[in-house]
Formats: sequence, C-alpha cells, structure tokens
Amino acid sequence: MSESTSDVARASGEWAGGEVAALVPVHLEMRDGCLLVVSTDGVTTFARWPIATLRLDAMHEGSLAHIESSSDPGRAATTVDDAFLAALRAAGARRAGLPVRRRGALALACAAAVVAIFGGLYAVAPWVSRAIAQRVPLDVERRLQPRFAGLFESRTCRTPGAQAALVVLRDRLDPTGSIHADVRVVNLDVPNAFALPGGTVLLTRALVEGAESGEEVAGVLAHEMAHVRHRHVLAELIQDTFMSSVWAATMGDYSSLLVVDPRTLEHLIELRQSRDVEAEADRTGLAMLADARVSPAGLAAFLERNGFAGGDGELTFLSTHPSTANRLQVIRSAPVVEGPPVLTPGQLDALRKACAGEPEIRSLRDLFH
Amino acid sequence: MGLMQEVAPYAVYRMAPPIPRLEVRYMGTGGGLFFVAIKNLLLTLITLGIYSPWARTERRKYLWQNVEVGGQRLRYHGTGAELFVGYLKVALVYGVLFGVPMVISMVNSIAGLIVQVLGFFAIVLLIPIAIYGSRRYRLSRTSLRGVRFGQDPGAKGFLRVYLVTFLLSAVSFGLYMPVGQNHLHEYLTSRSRYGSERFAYDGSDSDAWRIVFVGMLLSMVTLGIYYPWYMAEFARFRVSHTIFQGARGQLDLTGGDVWKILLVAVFGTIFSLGIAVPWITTYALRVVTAKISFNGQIDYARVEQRPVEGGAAADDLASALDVGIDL
Repeated sequence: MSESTSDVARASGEWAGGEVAALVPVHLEMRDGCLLVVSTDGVTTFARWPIATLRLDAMHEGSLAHIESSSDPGRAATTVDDAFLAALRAAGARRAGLPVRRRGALALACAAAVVAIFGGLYAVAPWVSRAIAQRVPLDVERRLQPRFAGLFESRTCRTPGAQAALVVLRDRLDPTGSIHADVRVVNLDVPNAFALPGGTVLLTRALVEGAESGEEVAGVLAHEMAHVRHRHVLAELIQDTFMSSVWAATMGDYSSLLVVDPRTLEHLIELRQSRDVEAEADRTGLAMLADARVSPAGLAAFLERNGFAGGDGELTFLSTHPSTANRLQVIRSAPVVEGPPVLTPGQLDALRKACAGEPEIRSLRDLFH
Repeated sequence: MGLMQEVAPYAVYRMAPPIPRLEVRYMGTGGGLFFVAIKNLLLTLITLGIYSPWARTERRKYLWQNVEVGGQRLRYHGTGAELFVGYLKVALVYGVLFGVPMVISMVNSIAGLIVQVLGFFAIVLLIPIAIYGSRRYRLSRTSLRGVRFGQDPGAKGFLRVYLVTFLLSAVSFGLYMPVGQNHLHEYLTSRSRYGSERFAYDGSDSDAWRIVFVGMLLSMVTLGIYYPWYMAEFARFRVSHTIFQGARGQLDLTGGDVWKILLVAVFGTIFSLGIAVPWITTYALRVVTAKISFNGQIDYARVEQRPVEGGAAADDLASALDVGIDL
C-alpha cells in the first residue's frame, strides 16, 4: 500500500536491475521531484530518477506496472500500487498508451476514418481510372496485353465472306472509325461476346451461328463496341491494380488472421460497379444503334433467347450484369429507328459460316490445346 | 511389521516440498487489441503501407506485454524503425532475385530462365534462414524480469537440418517428416536462451513419429474430427519436453479446448465479418496460455543478462515469405 506525507509518496515494489533475472524487493519513494528506488533495509539506493524522465507502463488498472527512466535504459522498477502510480503521473511522469476510456473513443474514430477512406476510394476510383484509361492510346493498351491477342489469334475464324460482313457491321455502327474496334469471330461453342484490352471485340462461333438476323449480331456488337469506346476494360484493370495495392499494403498483416477473405466486400462492390458499367454499355450501344438506324429489337431477341448473364430471380447482387428483365426493359423503351437491313442474306450466311470446317472448341480450356 | 513402518512412507511424502509452479497468463482484452488493430489499419492506409513495420511492432508489443509469466510481464523491445530498415534490405534482395532474371531475359531468354530457376532455389534456401533469423530477432527483443531472451547464431546448421528433412521426407514419401520436424524443433529450442541459461528439448523421435502418424491416420479416418485432438497432443508433447534449468514445461490443452477455439474462431469471424477477430484472438490466447506452466525450480540469480544479437531483416524476410511465427 502507498503512504504519503505532504511531499513524499511511498510504495513497495521490485527492482529489475538488468544484470540478473532475480528481482529485489524495494521501496519506491517520490521525493524532491525524483523517484528513489531503495532496498527494503534502506541501505542501498538502486536508482534516483527525475520524475520528468519516467515512463509508466501499466497495461490495465491493477496490473503490474513497469516504471522506466529514459536516463537509465534497461532497468525497471515494478509495482501494482495504482495510487502511487497516480501520484507519479500527477507529478509529471508520462504514461505509455492511452487510458481505456479514451482508447474506446479513438478506436471508434479510427474505424469511422477507415470506412470513410475506403468508401471514398471506391467512390472515386472508377472516375479516376476511367480518366486515366481515356488518356492511354489504344496501341499502347494493345501492347500491355499481348497474350490476349496471341491466345485468340490462332482460334480466329477468317473466311473472306465473314471478314467482309464484320467490316460492314462495324462501319455501320461506327461510320467515322473513331472507336478503332478490331472485330473477330472466335471458334468457341458458347453464345457470347467479349471486349478485350486494346479494342479487340470477339463474337463467338455459337453466337453468329445462332443469330436469326444481322440486327441481333449488330445489337450485341454495339454493346461490346460501347465497352471499347468507354475504355471499360483498361479502366477496370487500372482500378483493380490500384485497389489491390491498397488492400495488400494495408491488410497484408491481418488477412492471414481472417477465416473470411476480407476482400469479400470489395468483390461485392466490384460486382456492383460491373453492373453499372454493363448498364452504361447498354445505353451507349442503344444510342449507337439509333444513330446507325438499326432496330434494337434484334438485341432484345438475342437476350431473350439466350438469357444472357442471368440475374432473374437469382441473387442479382452477385451478378456481373444487370438482370435480363431490366436490360430488356431498357432496350424496349429505346427509340426504334428503322433503317435498311444491316446485312444482306448472303452476308449473314457468310458470317454464320465463319468457322465452318474448324474443329469446335467447347470450353476456354480447349483454347490452349 | 509394526505400525511405524506402515506409516513412514506416507510421512515422507507429506514432508516433501511442493514443486514450484510457474504459471502463464494472457491479460490482454479484445477491446485493447481492436484499438491497436484499427489504429494500425488507419495509419497504414494513410501512409500507403509505410507504417506497416511500426504497426507490426505495436501489435506485438500489445500481445507480448500482456503475457504474464510467474506474475511478471514480458516486455517487447523491438522498434518499427529497425523493422523498416530490415524491410528495405529485403526489398533489395527481392529486387535482385526478381529484377536480374527479368533484365537477363530481355537479352537472352534461355539465360534468363536459368537465372530464374536459380533465383527460385535461392528463395527456397532463404526460408529456413528467415525462420531462424526471425525467431532470433523476436527472442532478443523480448525480456522478462529485465533480462532478454536470445538465440545463439546457427542459421547455417538450421539450413542443413532443414535440407536433410526436406530431402529425406521426399525420398521416404513423407514418413521421415515427423522425425525431421522434431530435429528442427530440437535445434531451435536447444539454441534458445533466457539470458545466459539455455532451454533444452528431450522429445524423442519415436514418440514424435507415433503422435504424428497416429494423429494423421485417425484424422483421415474420422474425416478431420480427430484433428484437434491430434493438434492438442502434439502441442502437449512439445511443451512437456521443453526444459529450463530444473523446470519442465506442461500444457494441459485438450482436444475439446482446441475444438472450442476453432468453432469460436470460425463462426465468430464469419458472423462478425471479421470484426470480432481481436476478441477471438484474445479468447484463444487466454485459453491456451492458462494451460501452460513450468514445474520445477528456477534459479533467477543464475540467469545473467547477455548482449542483444540478431537483426530485423530476417523477421521482414520471414514476413515476406509468409513463414513468420507469432505469439
């Protein structure tokens, strides 16, 4: 127990001198602006530390506190006497860390700041990455991803008739050639279309073979060319690289502690952003169709038949695309501007036969064989 | 036989002095650890990761200094600055190991491939060195009763035992692995010191092999249900064969305890989306440390201070290679 007179406070404690691990029972005395560490028989004074140099390290109220002095490193006195420690603090000794009450408030403030910073980054990242992507020349983007081009090069179907039909479609949708899309048919047995880095647009064999009109192919192509116009692919790469770096730099030490991948929330946000990007590509694609005087009914028919990218009656928040029902609603509400057919029957037939005679590739894995 | 002869052994038993018992406790709280974690996260985020070495130090300091051994708290003396310098050294090594093959590949692809393969083997060799050095760094920055722990130099020897374990385990289809791991543990423990006094390890290879073999077999047969009992038995084996002066380690952890910790960890993390991790860590540390004790006489007067040895670079390397050990 601590005792105090008008100018002296005392407590019992132990002395760790730093030479051996045996502790010495001592009296701690606060006197004349100093802490005296004295043997219990009063014969030996182990330390005389100015209170201004003291650092008190108690993890909790009532736990063993270490008292150290910056003037005498490697040595410490210990005590469990809270009253004595309070007297030292009142006299000017520093405490290590914050009191429990202030810790709670600061923890909440830190948590709020972390959420705000991550929220701000996710709000700003799409705009910034898109602005950067728009400033990267397309040929530079092509050089960034040479493997994509190489991968599909050998699987591209190139009959003269199909190539001519693709040029007709592309020029109808982009008469000024400002989008610089490189449109190809790839030998893949899944009805789908992709926009790749560098402006490459792939229509699959199954898509062109199953198309009932040139307008269906034009509708899908307009959507993919809209991705190229907005540089969605590069913007996504930039955003993903940036956010991954932020996560790796900040969560690297903690992620191994978690059973749940801490990036689950990030993936959900990315899916939401992906749905926004797809909706934007739908809107731009519809505008391109209107400018080219191509009916959007073809795109609607294609989506209805193939039930593209799901979401209906499923967990929409886990989907990369908006639900087909929503997409159809947007497409059907778009203005219909009828023009001449986009492809002649002969051109459509040539396009459908783009991969005729080529062995079918049923999955992406087959691309590597 | 007379009555006196009958009761004498009982009298001797009663008069034997009790064996001193050194208990371990973790005194930290979930709230305290959460504060450290969230503060670290914020500062690491603001500084784009530069604060990371200081964050690691803060976290260790909180964990270490809340452990009481025989009523005295551990102290952690590592600093963020020394970890940061170590981090720069590791970044340089990584730059050489990955950058040089890349540059050579631009000139000659075959030569680049050869250098890449050599770089891969260099990283494999760095793993045991990182494990040994990281442990050495952490022990040398930990003190109890004003005296630091330590580990003697010996990374080359550890590398040798590691490679022998690796090769013989490969040749024996894994049958040698428990024995090799026992040798590695023995190597680390017997070179660990508290001040001037060394720890010792006397776990036999045959017992280690039996525990691992039976444990893995039963875990497979029971589709993993037995695994926590295996983990507990393995940990009990290691602790009970660790000796310091006249005291021997004891761990009373059971398979049921491990099951409870695993269930709390898995479900607590999932249902709190990870926010409860500091409280789960605290729960696990409290359960495990409360089961650890050392039984026997320790003469603290014989435990003399030794100079601090061991740089932080190995600790950073262990962290980069994800082979670091923690509390």
